[in-house]
Amino acid sequence: MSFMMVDRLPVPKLSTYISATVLSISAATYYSVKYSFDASHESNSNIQVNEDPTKTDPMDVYYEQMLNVLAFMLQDPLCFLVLCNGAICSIVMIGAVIQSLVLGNLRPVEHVQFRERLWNWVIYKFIFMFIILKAYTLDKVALWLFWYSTLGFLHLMTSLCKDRFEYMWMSMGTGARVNWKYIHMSVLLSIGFIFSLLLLNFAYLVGLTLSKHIFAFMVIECLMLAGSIVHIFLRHYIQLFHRNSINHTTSPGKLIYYAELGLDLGIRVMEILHYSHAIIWTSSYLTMAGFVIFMHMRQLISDIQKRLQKHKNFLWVHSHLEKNYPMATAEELDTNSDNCAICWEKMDSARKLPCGHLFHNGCLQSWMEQEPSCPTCRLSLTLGHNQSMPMNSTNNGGQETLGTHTHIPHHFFHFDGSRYLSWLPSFSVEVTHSLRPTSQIHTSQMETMARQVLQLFPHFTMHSIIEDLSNTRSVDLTIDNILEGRLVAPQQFVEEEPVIVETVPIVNSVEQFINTPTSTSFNTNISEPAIDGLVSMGSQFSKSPDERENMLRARKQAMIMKARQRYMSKDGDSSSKSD
Amino acid sequence: MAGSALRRLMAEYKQLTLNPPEGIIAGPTTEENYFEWEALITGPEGTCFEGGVFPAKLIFPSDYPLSPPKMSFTCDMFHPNIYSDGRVCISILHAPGDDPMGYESSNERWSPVQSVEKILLSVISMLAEPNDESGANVDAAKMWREDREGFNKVAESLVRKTLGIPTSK
Ligand SMILES: [Zn+2]
Ligand SMILES: [Zn+2]
Ligand SMILES: [Zn+2]
Repeated sequence: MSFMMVDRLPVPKLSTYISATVLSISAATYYSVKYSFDASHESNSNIQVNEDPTKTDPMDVYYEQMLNVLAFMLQDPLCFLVLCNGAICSIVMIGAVIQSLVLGNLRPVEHVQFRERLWNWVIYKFIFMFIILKAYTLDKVALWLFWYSTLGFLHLMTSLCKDRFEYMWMSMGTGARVNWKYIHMSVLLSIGFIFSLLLLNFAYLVGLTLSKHIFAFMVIECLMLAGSIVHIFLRHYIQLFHRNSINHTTSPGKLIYYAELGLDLGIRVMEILHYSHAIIWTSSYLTMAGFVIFMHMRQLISDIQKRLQKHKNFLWVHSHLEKNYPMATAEELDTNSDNCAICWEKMDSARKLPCGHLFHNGCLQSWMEQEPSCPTCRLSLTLGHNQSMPMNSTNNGGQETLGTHTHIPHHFFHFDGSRYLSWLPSFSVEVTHSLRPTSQIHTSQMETMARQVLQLFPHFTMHSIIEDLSNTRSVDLTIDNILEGRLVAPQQFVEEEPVIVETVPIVNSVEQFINTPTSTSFNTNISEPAIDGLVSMGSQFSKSPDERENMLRARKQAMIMKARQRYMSKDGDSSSKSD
Repeated sequence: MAGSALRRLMAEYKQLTLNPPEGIIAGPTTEENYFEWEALITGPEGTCFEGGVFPAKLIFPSDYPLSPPKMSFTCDMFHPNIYSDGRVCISILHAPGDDPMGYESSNERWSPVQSVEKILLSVISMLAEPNDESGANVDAAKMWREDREGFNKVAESLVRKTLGIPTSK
């Protein structure tokens, strides 16, 4: 199956793509100018005799020729495709400009995900276009190329924004600069939303004239895009709510919860409709495309089941809490001076468990959805609950498995499409040893793979990457390993290097930090108390992020310094004793 | 949700900075991403890891503290409960549901009342007293049981390595 290799394909450099496009367009123009000129020359020569005296303005002739060339280019299939490619190229360029304006440089993770999404989009829509939509004529190809490149552009932009939003939720930063970024991205998303409505309009104008089925395809695709944009906004709102709410007594509200649930399910149901429509319309039950789509629909249905199961669990926990565990009274809250043990924040109202432990209602609710027990004393709270509900399969739906024991199975190729685009299927292919002898990957091949990884993570050494690659045999799994921290960048302290060389900068910075002007060589005694001061300097927690970061770094360096000095002196003692 | 996780992580960071426990420093690797921390752990005194300062990385899930973080050492480690790639295997880092080895009682498992500080303290006690039933590093477990002398030597060299001091011999 070709698309398994999708995520390993490199994306050509933007500049290469643009220059190739420009080159192909100019070649096509030259070709068609030459041919149309010849053609018009031939036809002209027949009628030239009586037309010659009426010939007037050279500009008119020039203009006419231009039209001729254009008409020729539109008729010649090759030239036509070149022109289409030119249009797509300009969309790509617009995308690149928007990305650099709004998002700035992509982080490596985003880059990897972007590449995967792009290829998946291109290949899946290509299949869809030719197998389901049967776009064999030039005008149809043009229509669908336009449609899918615009839609794909909007989808990719949306998912980039989504990734970036998620990343930004992870940092504490607020400030004007961050707010500006939020505003930029919100504007971009709103524009995306407007565009999806425009596309809907386009579907009405163009698709409806073609056929009702095509109209339905187009409408659903637009709605899915619009839905995913609204979903991002909604999630963002929920995040902001959680971040700014002072007490955790309330969750963001029933309405928001149900809106998110509705969108989650709605988008998936729409996809299922979309695909079943495609299959029924083309009656491609037993074809390759049908197979791919069936696989995907199965995945979607199980997603929906999981989501519903999660919702059921939510409802159960909610009513269970309401029914069996009363809210704490004011006196109980007064006598209990502790914060909520889940979120570490003050409790103005709380729910009381039979064991006497108090928690915020919202905090307890989200923990109970995962595990019905008291977080503090682990008293089981399953009272009256039929144990049949699978606790863990429901709570993390869609999220990565969190246990420390999740190894990447080395001989098991897993393609989880829904990670990249929600409509992609997932594949797992088990590869046994007999199929794949151990020394199968050639060294040179390995090196090219390693270089690919190296491009994304330049701070790793070739050696460590190759080592990991020899285990994973896939650029992707290695990148996964790096991203999830299983493969770690080379150590700061390398044994082979002489000690002095590496220690000097550390001494430097520690000194800079405590402002004691001494010489920079190692072993000039930095006074013990100074370092002690640094290590225990925990007494301040700065409000400024930069200062916090510097302080933490300085404390770490001081700790290493101190440990080293202590070790050296102990080592010295023991060796002098033995002398 | 990431929002409440962030507030909790911030609170923990503050507490760890204001009242740092003996031999532990921990905080976000960069202020840009509070879900990835770096910690320095001092080898407990009176054990073979004494004197070493071991760097480790903690990755938090977006629903922290409902789910535990993942922890792995970023230096070379040789220990029965640490995988060769650095991942730490102790019960406090396991969600109540997953029990890969089937030997841990659920009382020691993760729960939202646990914290980074408690994790790091249990890692220190793990360094002092390995649980040799866990199969994270079978070689290390075997060596720990059968050749304590050799194990101590390896640990000693690791300590030197983290401090950037070349081996004396
Ligand atoms: Zn709470
Ligand atoms: Zn309790
Ligand atoms: Zn484990």
